[in-house]
Amino acid sequence: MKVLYSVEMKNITKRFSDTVANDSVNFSVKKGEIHSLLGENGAGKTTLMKTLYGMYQPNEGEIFINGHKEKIENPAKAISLGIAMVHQHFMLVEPLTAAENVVLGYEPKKGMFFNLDKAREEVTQISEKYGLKVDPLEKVEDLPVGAKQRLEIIKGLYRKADILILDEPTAVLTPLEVEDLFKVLRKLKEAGKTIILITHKLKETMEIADRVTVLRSGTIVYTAEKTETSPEKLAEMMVGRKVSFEVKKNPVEHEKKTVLELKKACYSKNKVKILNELSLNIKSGEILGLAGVEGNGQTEVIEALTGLIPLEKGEILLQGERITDLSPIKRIKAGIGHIPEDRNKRGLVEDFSIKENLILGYHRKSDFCRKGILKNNNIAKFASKIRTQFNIKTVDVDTEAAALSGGNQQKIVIGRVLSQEPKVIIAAQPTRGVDIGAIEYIHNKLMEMKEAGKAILLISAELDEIMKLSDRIAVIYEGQIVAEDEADNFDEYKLGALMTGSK
Amino acid sequence: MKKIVACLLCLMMVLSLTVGCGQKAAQDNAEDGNAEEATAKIGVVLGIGGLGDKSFNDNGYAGIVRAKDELGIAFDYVEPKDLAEFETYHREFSQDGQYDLIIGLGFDQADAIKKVAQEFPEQKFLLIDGVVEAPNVASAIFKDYEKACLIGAFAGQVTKTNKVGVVGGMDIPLINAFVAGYQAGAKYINSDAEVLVNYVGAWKDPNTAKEMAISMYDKGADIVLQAAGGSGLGVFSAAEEKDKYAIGADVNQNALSPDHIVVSAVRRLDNVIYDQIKKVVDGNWESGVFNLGLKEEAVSYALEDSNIEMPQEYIDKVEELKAKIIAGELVIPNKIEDVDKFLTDNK
Amino acid sequence: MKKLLKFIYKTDLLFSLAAFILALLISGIIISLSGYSPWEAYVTMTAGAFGSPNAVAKTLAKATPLIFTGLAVAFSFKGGLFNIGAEGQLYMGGFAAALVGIYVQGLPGILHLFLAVVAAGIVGGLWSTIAGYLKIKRGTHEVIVTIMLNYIAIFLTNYFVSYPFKAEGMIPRTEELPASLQLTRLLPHSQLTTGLLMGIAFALIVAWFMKNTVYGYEIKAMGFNQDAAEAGGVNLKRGILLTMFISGFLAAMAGVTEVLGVHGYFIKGFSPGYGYDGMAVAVMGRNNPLGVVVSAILFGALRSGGMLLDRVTDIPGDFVVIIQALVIIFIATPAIIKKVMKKKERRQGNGN
Repeated sequence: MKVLYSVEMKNITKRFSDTVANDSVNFSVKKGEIHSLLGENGAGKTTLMKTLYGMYQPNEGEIFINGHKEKIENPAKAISLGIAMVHQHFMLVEPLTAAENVVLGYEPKKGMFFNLDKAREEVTQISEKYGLKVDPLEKVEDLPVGAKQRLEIIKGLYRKADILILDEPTAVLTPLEVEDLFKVLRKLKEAGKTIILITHKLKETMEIADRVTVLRSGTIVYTAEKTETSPEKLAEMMVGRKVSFEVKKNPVEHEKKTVLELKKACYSKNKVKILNELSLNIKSGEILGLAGVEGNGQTEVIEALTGLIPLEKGEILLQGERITDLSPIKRIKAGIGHIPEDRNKRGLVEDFSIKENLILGYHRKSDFCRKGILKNNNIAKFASKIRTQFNIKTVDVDTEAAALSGGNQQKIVIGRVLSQEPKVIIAAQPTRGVDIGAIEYIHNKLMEMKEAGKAILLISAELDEIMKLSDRIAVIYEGQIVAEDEADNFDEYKLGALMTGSK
Repeated sequence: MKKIVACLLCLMMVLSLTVGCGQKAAQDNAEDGNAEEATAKIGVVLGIGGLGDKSFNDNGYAGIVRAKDELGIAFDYVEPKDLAEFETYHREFSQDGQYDLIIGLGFDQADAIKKVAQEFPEQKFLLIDGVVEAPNVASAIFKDYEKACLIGAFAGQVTKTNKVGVVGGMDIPLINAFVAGYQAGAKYINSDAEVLVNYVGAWKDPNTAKEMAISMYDKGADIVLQAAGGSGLGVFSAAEEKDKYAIGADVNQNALSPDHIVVSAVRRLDNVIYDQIKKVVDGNWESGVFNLGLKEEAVSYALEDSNIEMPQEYIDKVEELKAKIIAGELVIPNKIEDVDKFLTDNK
Repeated sequence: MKKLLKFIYKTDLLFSLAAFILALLISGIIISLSGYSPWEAYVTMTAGAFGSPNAVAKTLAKATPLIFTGLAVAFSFKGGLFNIGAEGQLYMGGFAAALVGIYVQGLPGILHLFLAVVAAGIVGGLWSTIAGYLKIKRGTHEVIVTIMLNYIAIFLTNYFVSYPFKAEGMIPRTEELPASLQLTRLLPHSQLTTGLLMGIAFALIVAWFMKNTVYGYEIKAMGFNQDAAEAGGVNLKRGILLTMFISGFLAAMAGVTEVLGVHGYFIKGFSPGYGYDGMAVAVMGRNNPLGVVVSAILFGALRSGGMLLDRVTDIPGDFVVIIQALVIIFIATPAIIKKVMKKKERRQGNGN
């Protein structure tokens, strides 16, 4: 019997002005399977799927849907062919209700009028059938992230989609929510739907997918049944070389001393309490992981420690000395190294050269400047050294930082901080938007620093990362630390529950 | 597509700007037609603002055009964009060497002409409305108080209440000379006439000027002269509101409010410039400071464009006065304190 | 030569040049549509701008104030601020220079000149710093404040020079400055003075400052990415004040070269909008100090070419204004599009 393919993309090439995002890609998905499209950031996964969904037109190549050649000029055409895509950034109209969002553009009508009851009914029906829990009358802006995602799936199903594309669906979810999502996906599969899952996470792929395709720099390098492959093999294909996953957590032997202390910190924005008497102890030779769902005060903890926002109450002590009122530059000088959570916002000046970025925050140090005059020679020498040491891939250090990949940009930020021998390192989302190779590298560097006796605060949205690196974990929820203990005493589920406030 | 539309729109807008220039070109080309056998060549540096101001520059330009038509001269003119260009243009005209006379319109060209006239002692210059004392510069200034006297004579006859008013721009000698002439004229022709005087204190404040004019009308004046530049427009709206008479100044302003403005005091830059060019053509041009008045037809009055018919007997009387001034029988005072003496002397 | 090419490429000056040529082409079409010969226009303009030593002097004299206002605007752009107030700053600065020139006496010439220049710079700088101060204290946008300060500066100096400090005569101007204070003319009987050399020197100083000082580094960081600069320990408040001060200082120098150079006294309305033209110059010069010098000279050439056009042909000199406007449209529009695209690309890049 001939295998039935829902999607066949043949020799797809997509170019953006000077870069090739997809190069002669052959990609096919069998009917009724969950297919994981795996690859690092920038490998071309999203581009390929946006091409399938009609948002981009391929420069070359053909697309077959259920065996018929189709030209997909726009998303509307894709929808008519039974394709739905759940984007990483949800395409929902916030002030409308869930039901209204679902039917938007395909409204059930009663005569000339919008039939709200019918809409609600249909939404409820779909939601019950697949276990997609959403209150149809709730306004979207009031829905939690997980519900918004479910709503997007319902929207696709309402439009009679048979092929569902999900772009990094787990990036915004807690472990429990991920579990729920996977249950839904399995149900959908049972109902005969075809699902394409864009992801860079190996664990998820191994858990849910039937088949895997790996994209690397715009080309397909590997396709296999899940049962015939292994995470190691997939990682190797993604990165192009062997990768070791294990980070050895060597506990540091010598005595741990508190280096940086946040005491009963309070901070409000627009009269909303964001930090509520929050205390943290960061000790030498230890990585303290701060786990939490984004928006629970992590950003404010970072900014308070680095002096970017003033505290209303409470104090900050560095090796016992009060630094609550010091300016950011003085804190940097005192030894607080900061790897900002948003590289493009706080971390890098993209229009600056690599060289200039590498001294940002340390530019007034005597190594780099004397009486207000920059020592350009020293800076260039220093930059070349760091570039080699931190393996920043670039032609020269005069290149604009904007020209580099996310991983290499992050290496600039990390190289900048680690090379200055800080006493404390505040590492916020150190591997966000960074490829596997660089993640491995950054993790190892952080471990090295810990072993060298630095005190490290790790803030990450990736629970895996927190669990893998931390010696101790503190969970932040609504501006308070709700739990703090040795890392071994937590597991993913316990953390997930604490993060979402259900104790 | 949108881009193309935007481009076209832009182009259209730019083109519409140039239409005006196109018209000027046609005119200029006609001028060039008889440039070959020109009797003299004149360079003109207009004041900032250039042509189209319906006042100073246009008035002066008219004299040059008349000289071209009647005397067969040729001319080039420039419209400077900033103060620094005055000097450059005068110097460039001078360096060229082919201009028999270079005319600068406006007192703010005095420094530029002074500087360049020294560099080119052979080059003749004419400065309008300002003074440069140099052997190769003729400076034309105006006896504005003489025209004010005629205007005053009109006012003195037109008034039924024997009260006339004047709203001055500022309490400065230039305006006071004007006021003095006006008082002298009004009282000379009508010994019962009383003249109300007030000053706005600004050149661009028509509201205050209006208030002042209204209070004059309320006090019984039935005709008010504006001598306040841009503020003067307020006098006209006061006249409209109170349905009384007003008098214009500087240029013929009658058309601004033809049912209320009976006469305007005017300068005749065109006549002055024409005369100077004629002297160049005739070969009897000379430098010096020329204080020009009625005799030289440099100042005058205008009745055209007003809907109010001026009785012929009034005009005759004013012309009579004018003849006396031209003949030198009457010397019009240019200071307010001299007005009484003038009146007692000429009873 | 190779270095020069690299510089042109790196600073996008090529792009500016292309826009300039495109503007000339389109203006040519407009000129011919209006019934004139574009060939005649451009030949005349070239002659007027570069045809003789006098023409070159005129071009450079016109460029001189634009170099300063261009530098002033470019400097504020570098710091991420928009100083629209160069016009007011140059009036304030020019007036301060005139006052020092007239009323401070008994100093040796050079020292006196130096004092006048510094006083002008400080007054212009402080005038501009008002906008910076209000921005950091009250959050008012510097664009609005600098525009309003322009009016205040212009009318204030108008008043001063029409009444308390007016020289004898009809013209609203101060007394003539002592000869020792007037800038030397590089070509006799021209308006080209040592102000030009001052302009070039200041451009070099600004370039050096930006590249080699920690303040320049911080200002650039602030201009490119305020958040990152803040996290990198840059004191934003101080940065804003410093940027506005230096920008105002530079703008004031345009007043100095006109008052001490071209006119020899402070005269009401001496600037036909140099401060605003400075924005165009900065945009065309890509905010690069040396680019600013080049583009100021091009603008100067347009103006002096336009003067000859006005004088010897029937073609109205106002065409120059059209050319200028087109240059700005062609340069500014793609630059804006480019910036937007870059931002978009980055956003998409992050989403991947």
